[in-house]
Order: sequence, then C-alpha cells, then structure tokens
Amino acid sequence: MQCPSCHSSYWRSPVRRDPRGGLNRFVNLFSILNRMRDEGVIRDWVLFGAVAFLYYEEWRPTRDTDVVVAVGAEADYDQLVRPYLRTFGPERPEGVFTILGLPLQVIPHTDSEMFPGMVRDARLDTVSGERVKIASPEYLVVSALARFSARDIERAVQLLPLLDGRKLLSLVRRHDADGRLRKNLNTLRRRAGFSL
Amino acid sequence: MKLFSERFYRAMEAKEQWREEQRRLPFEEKLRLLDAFLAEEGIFKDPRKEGQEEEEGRDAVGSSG
Repeated sequence: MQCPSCHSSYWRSPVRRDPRGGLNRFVNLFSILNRMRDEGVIRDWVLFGAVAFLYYEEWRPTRDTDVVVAVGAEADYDQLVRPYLRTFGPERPEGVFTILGLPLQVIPHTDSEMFPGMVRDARLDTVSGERVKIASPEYLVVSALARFSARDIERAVQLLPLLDGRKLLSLVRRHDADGRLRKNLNTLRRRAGFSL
Repeated sequence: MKLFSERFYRAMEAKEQWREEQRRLPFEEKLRLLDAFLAEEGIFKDPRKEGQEEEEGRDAVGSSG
C-alpha cells in the first residue's frame, strides 16, 4: 500500500486526514507508537526535544522529532523496537528511523538515568484521538542545562514561566553527578534574571 | 529624535502579540504547520526510491568500469 501523500511503500497506517484535508504525518506517527505500546513492543513513549518544546511554546520550524521509548529490558530496543521500526523504512544513522517519510530519532529510556522519571511524569494529552505523552517542562529544561547550547538556553528561558521551581531543583540535585547542571542553572539564573 | 519611533514600538508590540498567538495555538495546529514545513523542505522522501537511486548510482559506477 502506498501513502497517498508521500508515496512511500512502507506506509501502512490507516489514513487519518485532518479536518482541513491535509494528512498529518504526526498523528499517524502517534498512532504507530500507540500500536507498538498496545502490542507490547514498548511499554510507553514520550515526545522529547524540539517537538515536545512546540507543545509549550510558539510554533517554529524544526527537522528533529525525538521520542524516548520505555522498553521492558535493555535488549528489547535491539531485538524488538529497531526491527519493528525498520519495517517502515531504513534506519540511518543508527537510532534514526524513517516513518511515513519523517526522520524520527528513537531513544531507549535506558540511555539516561533521567528518562524513566521523564516517561512517568510526562504530560498526557490527545491529538486527533491519539494518546500523546509530552516531556514536562522541568525535564526539557534539565536536558537543555545538560547540553547548554545557545538554542538550549533560549528554549530554557522560554519555558521558565511554566516551570515548577521545586521540581526543577529536585531534578537538578538528583541528576547532577558532575556539578554541570547546577553550574549551568546558575548561569541561566544570572542571564535571565530569575529565581526559583 | 527618539531612539526608536512610535511605529517601531508598535511593530515590536505586534510581533510579541503574534508570538503569543503562536504559543497559544493548539498542539495539533502546531504539528500541522510543522508537517507542512517539512513537506516544503522535501523531508518526506520515499525511502525505497532513495535506496533505488543509490543502487542505480552504484550500477552506473560499476558499468562505467
């Protein structure tokens, strides 16, 4: 079966058109991820990175769609998740799959000590009837503090009004093995002139 | 002369208002805009066709040698 929009032969999801007639690949992507969850390939999934940021802030273009998947065991990512996603399209580079023509970075929750909590505490919402979990602002800011590029700083500053300060400080304390998060948080506080 | 004109401040205010409107858009609408952007950028490629093109490229190299 071919996707009527992108003509991909790997497309096999039921057609979901938005009310304005456009095919929203993201809704179909959520449908696939929910099916993976229902079929036990993954335990859960959560939107992370730039697309999660879109949930809270103004629309801006991005080419990066990142999803963290909670797997039953570490080996499940290689034995179940990657083969499943490869049925939709090629995996390249490693961990980036082409789903409905959309490059999707899929990260197992075992890649960070922060991810299990992020999946557990994520915001739950519905988009066109599909269940969607979105990383909470506090986790997005902690990941921004870890990388701390100019773009990360800008995003973190924009999320400040939405933050639960105590929750953010608790996350920083819990995951700050080398002191980097606290140092970057203090830099952010000075630059943006805020207190928690 | 003022540092910036009244018109400049009005334009800045309108821009801030636009950003706030963008922020308040439903998530689904933001995703629809992103979908349209990625389509325009040519992100949605047929991975099988892409593979075929690579193979054809390799064949062409092979046949020339």
